[in-house]
Amino acid sequence: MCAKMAFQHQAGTAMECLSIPITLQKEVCGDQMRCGFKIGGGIDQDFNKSPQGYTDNGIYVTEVHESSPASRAGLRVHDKILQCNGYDFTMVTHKKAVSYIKKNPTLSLLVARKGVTSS
Amino acid sequence: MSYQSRTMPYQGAADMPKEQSVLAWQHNNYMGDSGIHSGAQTQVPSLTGKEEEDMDLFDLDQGSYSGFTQDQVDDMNNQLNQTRSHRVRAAMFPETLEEGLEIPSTQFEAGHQTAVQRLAEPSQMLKHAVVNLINYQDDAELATRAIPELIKLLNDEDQVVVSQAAMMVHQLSKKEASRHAIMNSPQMVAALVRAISNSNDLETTKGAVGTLHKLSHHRQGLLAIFKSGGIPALVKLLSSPVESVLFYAITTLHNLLLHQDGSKMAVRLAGGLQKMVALLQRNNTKFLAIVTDCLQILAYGNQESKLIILASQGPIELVRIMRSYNYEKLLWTTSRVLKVLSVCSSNKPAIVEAGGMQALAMHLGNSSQRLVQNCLWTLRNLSDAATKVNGLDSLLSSLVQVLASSDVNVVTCAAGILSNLTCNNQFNKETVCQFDGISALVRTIMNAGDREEITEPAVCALRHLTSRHDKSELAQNQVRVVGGIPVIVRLLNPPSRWPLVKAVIGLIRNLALCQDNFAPLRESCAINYLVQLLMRAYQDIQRRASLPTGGSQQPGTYADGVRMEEIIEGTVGALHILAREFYNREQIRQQGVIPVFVQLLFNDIENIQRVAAGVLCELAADKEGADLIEQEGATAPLTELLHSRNEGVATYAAAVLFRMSEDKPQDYKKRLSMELSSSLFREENLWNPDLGMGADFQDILSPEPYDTMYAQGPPSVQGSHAGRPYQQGYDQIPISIPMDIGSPLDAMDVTGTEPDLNFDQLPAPPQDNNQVAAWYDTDL
Repeated sequence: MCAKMAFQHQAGTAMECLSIPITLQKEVCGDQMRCGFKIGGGIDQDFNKSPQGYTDNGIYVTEVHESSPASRAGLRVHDKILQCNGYDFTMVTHKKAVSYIKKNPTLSLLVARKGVTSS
Repeated sequence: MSYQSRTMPYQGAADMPKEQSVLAWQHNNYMGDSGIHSGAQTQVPSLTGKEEEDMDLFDLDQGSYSGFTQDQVDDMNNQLNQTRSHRVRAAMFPETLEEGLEIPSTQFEAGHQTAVQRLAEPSQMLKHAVVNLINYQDDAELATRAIPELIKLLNDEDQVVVSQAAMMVHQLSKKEASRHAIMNSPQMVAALVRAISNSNDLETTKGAVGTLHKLSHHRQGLLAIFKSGGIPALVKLLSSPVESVLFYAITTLHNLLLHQDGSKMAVRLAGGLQKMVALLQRNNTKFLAIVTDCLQILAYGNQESKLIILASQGPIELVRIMRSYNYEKLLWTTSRVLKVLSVCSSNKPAIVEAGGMQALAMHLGNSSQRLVQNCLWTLRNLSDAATKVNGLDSLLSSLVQVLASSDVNVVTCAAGILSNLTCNNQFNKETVCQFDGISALVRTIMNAGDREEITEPAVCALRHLTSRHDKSELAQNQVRVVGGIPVIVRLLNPPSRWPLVKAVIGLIRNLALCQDNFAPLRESCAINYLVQLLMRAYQDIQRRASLPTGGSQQPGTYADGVRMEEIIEGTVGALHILAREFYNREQIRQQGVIPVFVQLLFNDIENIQRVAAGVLCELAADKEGADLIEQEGATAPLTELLHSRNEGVATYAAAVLFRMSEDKPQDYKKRLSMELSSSLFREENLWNPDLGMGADFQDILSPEPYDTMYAQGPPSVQGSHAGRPYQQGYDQIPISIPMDIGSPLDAMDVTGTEPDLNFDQLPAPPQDNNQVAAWYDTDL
């Protein structure tokens, strides 16, 4: 049940699932802050067209760069970000998610991971 | 008929067999017809067979009847005088005549009616009118007098009294005059509704609902029922086990839904939808037709109703009806409900899962155009959710057949469905090829002319059929064999709009995978047109890049939903495949397009880098090409691209560099070789240092198929550079935008009155473009 809820979640409905807390300290790279990962998804995107075959409109980590703050913080590719600095990420547009992530130098994330928080 | 038979004995024909007597009557009409059959005179031959004018000359006084004696003539006159009153009665009150009485006619000529005969018809009509008037007035007066009394009885404590009263009101409602009296009395209608709501007595219910049913044929009656709160009471009756009660209730509700404002909401609130869906399990086809029409009216343009129907298992029942019956009207009303439901994203998969595609496919050969059209619209709406469904052979076969239809709507739908169903479904692709869908689609494109609503889906279907399945090579050949190449290439030109152009580019790329197509494509000027399009798109993005954009990182703007970057990638990709052949390479070189290819190596988008490196790789096979590439300064960017994260880009770059080094000194080659092996260590097993460029190599490096949905092979469009967000995945995503989005035919129910637009169901589009976002990611 939990797996279905976490990865086939209907945006806007109540959800209860296990999550992994991750704290990520961005690194300074020129005049920019870098996290070292990519996100995809959001309620404005069609997950059916994701090359990874994601099954809902959540925000997913699509890539983690090697030896980056993200990889050091333990973020993994295909993690689903549920929350970022207290903001709900299960019903956000892609753009909104990017802006929340860019906002602060430190990210407190809650993520769901297939096979870990659910089978 | 009764008048006719009354004259029979009089003609002395009573004992003849029936056919003969009719014949005799017709021929002897001049002496037998009392004149009541006013029509008889015009259809029988006259006595003499002459024209009317001639008959004026035919005068009794001139002794034509010289065979009679004076006595005989007196006798006849006497007889005529005696029977005059009978003739008048026969004309005005035929019912008062005694059976078998003989009345000689005074009519001489078949064409000339006597005065009495001419009187007959109007006098009959007048008599009927007077009788009706007397009855009507009686009914109206009776009803008006009786109504207060009946209302009292309907409200009586005693159920037997109520039941009797209800039956009496029902009887009254069968006559027009008293019906008007009933619907003019709000108290009466209220009493009837109350009787329905409160009574458990079958006769009471029958009488009351029967009366409401009669009233529902009049606008005033509908209003009276609506105002008296009749709808909840009628909805309650939908659970009745009695057939006649059910029939009255559903028909009355149907009339209300059709003609009375506010009824739809009232029925929904009363829980009518759930009950109606439950009624779909009955098996009376006429009854079902009414129920389904009610459902259509209720669901049309109302998302909540659609979800209620879904939750009540409506799709399963509706699909079952489509499968089980052959009553045209029922099939038509049911297909209309399914059409309305098929634009709802929640109902769509449920209908598909219930076997809706197959059930709808059963009727595509029906002679009823309205049924076929509704089935096709529904199928098109469903088709993007059914790409994974198998067992659609008969549907695909029917679709290929109806492509030959002369009806534009039918062809448009069929092409759209074929396009969606062949997307990413290998089995369907092969099936369509087996039914010779290729020829049918090419013919469709030929006949469609400038109708892009047909050419675009047809081209997309061909594009799907010409790649990534076992018979794709046959398909590529077949397009040429049926003469499709010139027609398809011509679509690259105006007035084609960008979405069509983009689809055609993809199709040409696929066609170029077949060697035998090289020459026909070249002869149809495909290379020239592709280069022209590339130049246009390239200049467009150059111009945009030079504009000050205020530091924003907006991806390119869309023209009709197509980005110029997509056109660049498509055209270069097609040229890449075409450049596998010597003469094609020669022509590409002559177009002077190599500098653009080299410039594209600097593009931010990896896919564009890849196709540019790819086409250069082919062009470098000839020495002239390799020299031109080197002259354009490609060495530096290619060396840079050796380190690209994209394996395809790096491999192609290496291949170009290697080919350019063919005539270079040995130590240069050695240096290059070391550089290559260090940068390409990732794919040692793939990398073939002798650069044979065999077919396998090409396949590995070929761009991803044009109709892949997702999760097939590695993601073909990877990340973008330097934090520039980019709408990715554009070339790999099928042109299977669900056909109910944006297309007026699907989004709007053409037979209804209000548009079924459902825009609220669409995902919110990204702010910087007018298309539903596909999928992309952002580097952070």
